[in-house]
Amino acid sequence: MSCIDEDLIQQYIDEEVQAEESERITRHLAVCPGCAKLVAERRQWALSMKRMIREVADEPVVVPPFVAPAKSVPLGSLRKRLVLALSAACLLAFFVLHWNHPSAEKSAIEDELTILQHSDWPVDANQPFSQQGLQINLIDPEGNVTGYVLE
Amino acid sequence: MKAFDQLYQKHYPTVFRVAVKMLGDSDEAADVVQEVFLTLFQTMEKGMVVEYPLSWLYRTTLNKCIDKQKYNGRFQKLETAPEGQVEFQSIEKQETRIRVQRALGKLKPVERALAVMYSESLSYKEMAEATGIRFSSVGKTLSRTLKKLEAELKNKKYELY
Repeated sequence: MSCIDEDLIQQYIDEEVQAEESERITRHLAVCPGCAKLVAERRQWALSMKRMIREVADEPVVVPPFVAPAKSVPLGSLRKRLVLALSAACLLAFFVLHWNHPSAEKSAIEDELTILQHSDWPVDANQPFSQQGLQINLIDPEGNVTGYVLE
Repeated sequence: MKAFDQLYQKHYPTVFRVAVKMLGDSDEAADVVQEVFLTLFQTMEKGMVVEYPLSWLYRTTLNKCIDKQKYNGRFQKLETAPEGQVEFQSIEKQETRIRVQRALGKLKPVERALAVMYSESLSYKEMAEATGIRFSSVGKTLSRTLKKLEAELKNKKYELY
């Protein structure tokens, strides 16, 4: 029967007890041959256990070269980029097709009216508007000029 | 990455030995160790700091070994000595190795991890960090694990003959 707890003996031989406790155990072992014998046996036993476990893998180890993985773009990021690129292409295609469409050009020309304004028209500011003899000429897409005189 | 290369060269043998003791098979151990270092490489590549690399390596290796054993479904590999090495070993050493491998295979994964780390002379603090056992319980758990291992070894000695 030992005076010291077996778990504590394990910690003592592994040098994992507090300094104060360690000193107390050492002092006890000096005066208690039974415990001293047990601790010596446990120390030998622990060493032999360590050695046996080590022998499971005691061959020299050759370190193989480490092959770093190739840099890969995460799938999520790739998908996001693809969606954005497709959206941009669709928008570009829409604008190109819309503005270059012949009917769109035609309708723009048909609706176009040119107003010629002559700023050097003799205007008498003291006369009423109806007596200014102001003329507005409208030119349609066919080139016909229609004049309107303000009276 | 220079820092990673240094860690790899320095710690590969230790990590490999731990994996062999845990798995009992050097090919599987090599696979696990590659996975462990790949994880470390990716962690460092992201700029994350691994404060205690050796503790991190032990912890990751033990966890991966335990996962591997669960995946393999029960330690058949521990029953045999590594192929190709048998002829170079003495019969006695070979028998001892088989006995220890079998006995380790009978322990619970955490107990086996403790025994393996004890053989690597790790401190109780490092064992606690790697296994998740409370620091104050390491001594007691280790003491019981070693006794259990001893009992298994005694049984295996008779089984072998």
